[in-house]
Amino acid sequence: MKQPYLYFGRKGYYAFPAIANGNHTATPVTNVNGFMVPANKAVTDDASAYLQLSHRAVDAGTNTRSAIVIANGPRPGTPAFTGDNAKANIVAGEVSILDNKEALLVESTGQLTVTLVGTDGGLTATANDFLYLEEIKFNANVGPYNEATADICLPASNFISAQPVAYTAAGGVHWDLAVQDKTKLIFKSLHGSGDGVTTINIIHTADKYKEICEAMQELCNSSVYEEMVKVHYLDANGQHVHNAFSSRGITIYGMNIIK
Amino acid sequence: MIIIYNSNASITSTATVNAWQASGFRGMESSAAGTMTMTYPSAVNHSDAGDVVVATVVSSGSDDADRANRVAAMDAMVSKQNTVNKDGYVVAYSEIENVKPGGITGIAVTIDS
Repeated sequence: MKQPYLYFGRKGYYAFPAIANGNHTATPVTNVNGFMVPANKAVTDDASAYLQLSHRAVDAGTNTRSAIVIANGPRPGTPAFTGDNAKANIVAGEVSILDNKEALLVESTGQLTVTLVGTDGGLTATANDFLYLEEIKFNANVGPYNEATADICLPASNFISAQPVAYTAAGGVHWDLAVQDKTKLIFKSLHGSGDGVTTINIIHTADKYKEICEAMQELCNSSVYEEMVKVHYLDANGQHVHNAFSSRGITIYGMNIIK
Repeated sequence: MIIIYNSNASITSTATVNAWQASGFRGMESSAAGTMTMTYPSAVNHSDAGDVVVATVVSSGSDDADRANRVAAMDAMVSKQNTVNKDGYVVAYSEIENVKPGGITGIAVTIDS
């Protein structure tokens, strides 16, 4: 029986409440909570080519943004910095770039620290603010990248169900305030019916559940038999999303594979 | 279709040549820098495990090139699963016949027991 085979690749996305001291090592980034496991990164290592860290201010702050962050400017598509004190003051709603090498540290695999404003390169957040760590390109410093749950190819006939999941991380919005939802695509397990299921979790544009079902129907009905249907993956150039999803206005922020 | 994997130049034991129903193919995943893993229903009909074919794929030295090589190998195996040969079986990989699609340089089969 000819049938399409669907290929999914992981994309890390971790949105979480900030804390004032910037040390997030108590909650390491995992494949479950952040869809990725970033490797150790020292202050001398620049990961900005493949990892982006953004700070969305919910509270205002006085003299809380360092010179490097001021120089980086706001994340494109977000409001300009307008605070006094040469823009070191943070205004609620502003989005700062923190993926410079001085700010984003991974002290032990998956354990994040964001430097304080006193250390040039960072800022001081509040507990109401949010941070967003995003994987934007394939890189071996963000795992799993060549092992199980890095990617998977599944027969379309093994698709069981699509289920919406509540998603409230960072208030359920991206740093550009785009509202987000989460959907899981459930397939029969690689190892058999007694081994549970294989689940593809997707954080995506809000109110697109029906469109995702439409996209899956389109992909399952496709007549691509000579190669996999590449639904989503990262490579060294960035993100690739199948037209069945992107043409329906579905932005994929994160994807993981749970077996 | 019946799909055949021959992993060894000498047919000496189980796992040197194996056949499954292509319709039972459960999928593939990357499993290491130069390998990807395929699964079929267990030949002993266990519900919680499968028979496993680990394919060794050409390795280029670059992590992204290795990723692309694994994807190419998976693409080739999808084509094999979808091949129709009404007069016989489909050879997915064969050392004896030198059928090595998609940059796959070797396979190792583990039969569930």
